[in-house]
Amino acid sequence: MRLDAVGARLRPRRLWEGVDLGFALGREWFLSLWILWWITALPVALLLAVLTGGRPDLWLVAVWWCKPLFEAPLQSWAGRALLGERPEPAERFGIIRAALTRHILPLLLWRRLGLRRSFLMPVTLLEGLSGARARRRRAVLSHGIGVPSWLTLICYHFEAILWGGVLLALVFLIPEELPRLDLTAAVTESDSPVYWFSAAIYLLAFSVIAPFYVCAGFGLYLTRRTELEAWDLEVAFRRARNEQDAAARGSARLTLAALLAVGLVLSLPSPVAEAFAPRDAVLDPVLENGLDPGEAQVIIREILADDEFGSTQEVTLWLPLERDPTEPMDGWIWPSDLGALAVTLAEILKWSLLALAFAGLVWLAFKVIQGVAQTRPRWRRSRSGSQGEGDRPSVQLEPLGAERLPDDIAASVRRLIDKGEHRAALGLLYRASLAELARQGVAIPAGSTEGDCLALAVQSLPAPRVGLMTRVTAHWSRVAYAHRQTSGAELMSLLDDWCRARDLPTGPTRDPGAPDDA
Amino acid sequence: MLPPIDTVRLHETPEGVDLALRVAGPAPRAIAYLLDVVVRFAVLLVVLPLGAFAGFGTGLILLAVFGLEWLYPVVFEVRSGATPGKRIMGLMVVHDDGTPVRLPASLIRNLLRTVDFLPMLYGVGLVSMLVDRDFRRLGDLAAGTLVVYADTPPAKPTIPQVVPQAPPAGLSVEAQQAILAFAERGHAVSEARRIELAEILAGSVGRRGEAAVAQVNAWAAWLARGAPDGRG
Repeated sequence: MRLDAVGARLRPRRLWEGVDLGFALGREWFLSLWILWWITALPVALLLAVLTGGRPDLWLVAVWWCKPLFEAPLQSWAGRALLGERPEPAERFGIIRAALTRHILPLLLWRRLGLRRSFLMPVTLLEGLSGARARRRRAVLSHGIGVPSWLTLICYHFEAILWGGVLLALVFLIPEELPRLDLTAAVTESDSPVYWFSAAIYLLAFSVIAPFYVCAGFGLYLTRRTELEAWDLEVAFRRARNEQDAAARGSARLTLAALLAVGLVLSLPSPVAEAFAPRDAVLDPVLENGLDPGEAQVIIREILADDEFGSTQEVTLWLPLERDPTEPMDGWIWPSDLGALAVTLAEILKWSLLALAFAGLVWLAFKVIQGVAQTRPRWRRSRSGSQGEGDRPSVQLEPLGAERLPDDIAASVRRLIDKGEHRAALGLLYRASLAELARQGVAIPAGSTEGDCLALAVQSLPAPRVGLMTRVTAHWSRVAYAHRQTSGAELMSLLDDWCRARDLPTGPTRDPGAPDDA
Repeated sequence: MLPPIDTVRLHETPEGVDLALRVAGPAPRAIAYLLDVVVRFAVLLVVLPLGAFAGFGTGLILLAVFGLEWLYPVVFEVRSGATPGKRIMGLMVVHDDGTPVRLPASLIRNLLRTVDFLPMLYGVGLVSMLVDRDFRRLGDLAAGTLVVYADTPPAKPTIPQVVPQAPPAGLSVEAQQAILAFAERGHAVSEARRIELAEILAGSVGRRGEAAVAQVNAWAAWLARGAPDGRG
């Protein structure tokens, strides 16, 4: 075998990794191997179908028994492909003829049930050994390892999984309207036509797994030989030897350079003539006389400083400009005073920008303060306004409830009615009602309409009060929104009802504070 | 010429270092799965006597079945990168950049077991592993994980203690590594083969037989010493 052209990386690996290498090879070469398998297997399978008299179960077992027959060409093909000479499609028949010799007869007979089939097949097919030598070789190769047997068992199961998977997938995926695949018949009833179908699928599973099985055995074989015979080292050594031979035969220029270096070691001037002197003669003085270390260090440093050593590299990189401030800027195209002017201008610009920023900040602060100051009084004003004008529809509760309402509301209202200020009187009455509502702990949200207040009152007041409140609200709404004046009599009756509901004296009999207040 | 076929996947880190991940194929993973099934079954056997506690015991058994089915691989993978079965086979799960697998990826790859399991016994997963160049099943593809061989710390190499000699100039790094490997592994191959190998390289300096082996070993000693003072 020419190992230096090998198409897989040889390295010491675990045996399972060898199996994986085989699976990788099998995937790489799958199509070629698969076709090759069918070329051998299809005629044999057809022939066996005739020989078994049309019994699918016997046929399947017979095909299964003949598997080594189909695997041998695959092994030969893989052996050649590994060495970089991937066979052409036209060579397939030649490969099959070459693989199917009498050497594989044992594989079909007494070694058929051996579990290391694919691992040991290269011994027969690629090494061409037979008889006692082959037996010894097989014993050495498979000494103390169990992975080849596991591989065969696993591949049997992979075949079974593929077969069952395809059958089940067909059962799952065929719609119910179509004739269904009878799974029981496909597996057990050997005289049913479905069994033929199932056997054919098994053949398909054989064909799919065979390339991987053969290659995995081959990968295992390669791994084992790498372990036992250090094939990877042979490849590396041969490559190194070839490189060295090439270098030795190499161009005169390389030799010249090497010898030049030897000349320099001696710190001699390096004329070409001297450099061509025989290598041993030049080296001898150094080796025999020796140099004292200090002298040698000097020489070594001189030599290393020479251009011959090391290499010149052109490197482009960015560096900060202020890296060397002492260096005058020769490349600066502006005159120096112009530069100074520019600096001054920049300074001015900087300070003016700063001043501008400060001014902006002050302005902003001013605006903020002003905004705050404006908001607060406006709010207050609006409140006091609402108190001053009793007819404003929006009613603030706090002043209604606490401060500004007169102590004797009934008297005040009556006085207003007497003065003819009906609108103010009704407003006061309404506000007093709302204030009462607020005092009873009903929270009236800001912005509530009269309707909202009434709804709140309905929820919290007793029924007679609600009726009164409804009347007051209705009158007030009419006055406030429709500008329809309520008559004094109506107002008086409303006020009387209002007073009655609160157990206050009704009628104009008692009006004590009125003359004083007025 | 095509690059040699191998099961190593290189992942280049931002520092420009190639991490070599040796991906594991369907065969060792099938064995690892089988071992895990055995472990799970054993745990289930231990839990089974709980069935004596009528409904409560049945509930506990069902919880155990659920945990073993869905969480057993996740817990082990997140904790140590490998389920017991994978550990026995020397495998572990990693992200496809070589970092240890974390909870999200592990959950995804194990939840998708159900898809890989279809139509029976990982039929889909098997086909996916045979087709994919990194032997990934669908769960691995979705989660961005690989099943790789765990690196075992290498044994300290011993090379024969002989008088070092400088090897011929101009040897490539690969050749130097091969010389060192020869010194380390030479005792594992037969004597005839050892001589045959050594003669390939030492033949260029006219060494034959045992002398060639000694020569290569001397070069290896020189290379291993690293030639601290620069003299051969």
